[in-house]
Amino acid sequence: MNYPDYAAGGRSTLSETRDAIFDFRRLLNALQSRARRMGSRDPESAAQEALKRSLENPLSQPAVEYYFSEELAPDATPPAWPLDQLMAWVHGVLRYVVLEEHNRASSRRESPGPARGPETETRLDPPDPAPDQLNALIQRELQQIVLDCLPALDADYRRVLKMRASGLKYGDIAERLGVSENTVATWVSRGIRTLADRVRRRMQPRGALAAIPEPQRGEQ
Amino acid sequence: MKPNVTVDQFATRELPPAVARDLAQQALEDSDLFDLLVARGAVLASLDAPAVRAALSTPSRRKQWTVALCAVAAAWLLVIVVWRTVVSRQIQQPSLQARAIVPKPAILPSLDASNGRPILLASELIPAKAANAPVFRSDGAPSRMPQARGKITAIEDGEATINLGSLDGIAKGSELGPVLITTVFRDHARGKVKDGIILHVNDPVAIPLSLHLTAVLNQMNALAASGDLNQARALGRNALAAGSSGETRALLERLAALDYQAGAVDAAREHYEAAANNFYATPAAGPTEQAATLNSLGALYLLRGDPQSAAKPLNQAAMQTAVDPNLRAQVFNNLGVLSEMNGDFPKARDYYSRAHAQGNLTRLTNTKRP
Repeated sequence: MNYPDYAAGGRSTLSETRDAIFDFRRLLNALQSRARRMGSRDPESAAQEALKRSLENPLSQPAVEYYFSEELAPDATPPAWPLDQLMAWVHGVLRYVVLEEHNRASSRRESPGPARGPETETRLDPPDPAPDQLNALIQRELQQIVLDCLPALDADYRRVLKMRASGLKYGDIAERLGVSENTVATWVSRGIRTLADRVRRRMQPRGALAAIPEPQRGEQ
Repeated sequence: MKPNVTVDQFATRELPPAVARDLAQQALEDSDLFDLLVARGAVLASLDAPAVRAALSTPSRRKQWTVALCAVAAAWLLVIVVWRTVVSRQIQQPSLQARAIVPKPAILPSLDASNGRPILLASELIPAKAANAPVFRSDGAPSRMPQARGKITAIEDGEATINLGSLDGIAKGSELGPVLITTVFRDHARGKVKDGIILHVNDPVAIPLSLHLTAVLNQMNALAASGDLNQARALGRNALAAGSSGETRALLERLAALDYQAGAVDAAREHYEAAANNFYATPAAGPTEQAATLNSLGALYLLRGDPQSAAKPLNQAAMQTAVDPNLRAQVFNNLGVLSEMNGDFPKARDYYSRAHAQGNLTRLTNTKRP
């Protein structure tokens, strides 16, 4: 698949967008369904926008192509991003796109139009308000959700997860705790499962829009 | 492979890429599995974060509950003892006011996009490019400071020569009393003396204040662009006494930006505050000037880790609607950073979106321009 050089600021042409829609048809359907659950008024566009942004990011693009393309080339190399990282990213981007869609409507109504004057005329294009900033925000939000859910974990699970997060292998953890490797594997798996269940409840799509402050949602 | 085993392997990062792809493809047809993978992905992506690792070291909720219950019991005991003491002695105690402790926010923003922290946008605080600095007719920064007063050095054929030039803010066509300037050099100028006026050598000539202040501002910019921030700031400080608070407000604002660039953050804040306090001194500041100054002031508070003080100027800046969308984008971005520092992520996201919307607006405007 040949996508434009997004890293160099390229944008997809209509035909390239059509190619992407064809290549990731099932992913788009899944994203569309999630966007609808998140309250999007135009889930199809939201799904396409989330996919476009994921393909624009030079880090997520290979992962999206590897895991979600309809057909994988036999010589395709595994991406740098593991699937877990991609899943969290795609969810964050879609959630952001849907919220943007809601905010855009109110911003349009609120905006008085561009100021006309010599000062405006001589200005260059504004700096994009830092896309990395948004990416970092998505990461921090996910972290905050996980942080909020952490206190519910049992001490044993927390201990092994901490060791695992520090990069220790199962064998090392088992040796330190005086248990078998299988026990460590079970604790890690259960710890992540317990935590993920709580995170999942916190990340329910309806919650994403419920989080928008009421006055701003109704702001005209 | 059974799906549950596969999901567990996904959660422990032991899944071979090809199997991970199969799992991803399954998730496209199964929204529950998609949700599960997203949640586990979020957990895994966060486990490496220092904040999450630190939180993993804190006591569990059960332990916290025990501690909390003990604390509540102790607090009740204390309340009862104090209440009994107060009632029995009938002593009016001075009210104990809880001292508000404002915790230092965990997130500190930056004007630098490279360090991974929330990025503040304040174009006034960014050093101007050398190409944007005023061009003088000799190499380097100007050799002498702008003068507000000069004198006539020669008169010949109805044309007067004065010892003030472009360095002092004089331009072709300027009127200095009875002299209409026709030729301008760096440090002197010539002009026609109006009919019927008799002038003599050494007669004093004064530059209009607005021209003088513009010359000072230009020279400050030239010095700053040449890297001499200290001299630029000294020039600005000396010129502050030349005019009223309204007339010198632009100097204050530029001085504040140069203070920040020179590392004098407190001085920068004071100068911005002084400028903001004089928005309505004649000539009153327009909405763009107000928004830019308030945005920079708010950004300085945020850089100090003080979102509480930043809220007022930034919100006031956001209320200035008739300003350049680029500036509005900066204000909204900084309000987003403020909300993020306060832990209000939905609000932060809302502001960042508004910043994007403003940016798009400008881009459209610029695209349509012939």
